[in-house]
Amino acid sequence: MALVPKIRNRTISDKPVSSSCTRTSSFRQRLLASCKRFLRFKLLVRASSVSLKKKTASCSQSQQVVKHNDDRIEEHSSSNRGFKNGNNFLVSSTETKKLVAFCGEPFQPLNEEEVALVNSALSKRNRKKILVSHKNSNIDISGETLQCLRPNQWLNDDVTNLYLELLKERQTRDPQKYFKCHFFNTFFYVKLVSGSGYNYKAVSRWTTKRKLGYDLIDCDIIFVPIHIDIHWTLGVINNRERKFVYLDSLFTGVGHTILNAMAKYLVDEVKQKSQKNIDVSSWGMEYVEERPQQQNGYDCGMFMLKYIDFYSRGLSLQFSQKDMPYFRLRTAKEILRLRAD
Amino acid sequence: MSAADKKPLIPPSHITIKIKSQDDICVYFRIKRDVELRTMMQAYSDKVGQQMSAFRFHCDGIRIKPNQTPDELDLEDGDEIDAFVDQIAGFSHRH
Repeated sequence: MALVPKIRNRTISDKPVSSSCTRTSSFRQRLLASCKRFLRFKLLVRASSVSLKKKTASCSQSQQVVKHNDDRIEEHSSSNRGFKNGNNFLVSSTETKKLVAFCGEPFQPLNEEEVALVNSALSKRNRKKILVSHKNSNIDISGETLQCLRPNQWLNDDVTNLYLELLKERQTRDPQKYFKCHFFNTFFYVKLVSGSGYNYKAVSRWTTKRKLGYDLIDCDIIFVPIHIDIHWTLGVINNRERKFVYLDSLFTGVGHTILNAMAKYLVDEVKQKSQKNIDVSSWGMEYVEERPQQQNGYDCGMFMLKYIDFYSRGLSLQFSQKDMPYFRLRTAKEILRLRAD
Repeated sequence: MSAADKKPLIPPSHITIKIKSQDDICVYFRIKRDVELRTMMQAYSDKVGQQMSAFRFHCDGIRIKPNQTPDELDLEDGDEIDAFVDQIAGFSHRH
């Protein structure tokens, strides 16, 4: 039995990108507007070249509207999440997705106060101090742990997992703006394939509805961060586009085991949680070749986090190595404030 | 005869917890329900010869803190706790 595809209309309201825009002077507004126009243009070019499925792409005043015509056979799904924004999620053959090109947000500069906050947190006297405690995830971040966000440092599991928790909270706070994503922590894959190889049973209790508050299969995108010895990479189960994706900021063409494990996991998960058999043989398996790549020996963790951040916003991966110092600073700020924007 | 003679092997105030390493090696601990897990975590770390800070203890994917008790976490007899090893990566042979 084929999995019932769940295609939804996703509407992102065309509210202002950032409330600060309205407060800025007219010059800054003009500058921001021209930046937005430029980025929208870039996104548009990319969107139309990346996927053949995206047949039309038009640009309106404040939104980039991407319409997908999907040829898959769709059935009515009763388990959809009902109404949202006044649009119900009745399945139709055309998927319409509006993407707000909120270009400013992923690159919003830090203000002086925020930079001072990060600098002070990274100072030597704070090394032993617990700087923040995140209640839901039980993760404490000490000055020493946060040091990994200094330039040239390797990212650790605590910072990575806390950031993923913050992304989850961001999405709960503002569900219209982001895809419905599930962010596994960095130990999930370890457990899934530990010891004697692939073992679904070891993680079957990680995703009970009681724990998550939703069914995993209802998510648009499922992120699986992967730690291999001294390297961070990313596995993605893209439920929207029916594909498994693997992103490695350094190497190309590896990760068959990971893609296969994710495919197997999804089949087992659906079987266990919904008592359905799904066929993923028609799903794509993709090693993303066109992705921002690291040019050094320490930024793979940051690349992984930003792949996740951009994908959950529905944006293409429009960043590069030169943005990494900024992303490190920004991530440190977001962790200290316990809020990702 | 008396109630003391029929005492069960494991008193109800205690539970047995299994700590599993990433290599599927298990260590069993009998602990009190209302005592912080710190003692058990420390004992485990000593047993495997590592610092406690090198481990991330999880129960079904949820991180456990040393100051939590089995009661707080609704742990039951025979439950399993994962001892994951801390992760750090960046990719360079220089480190």
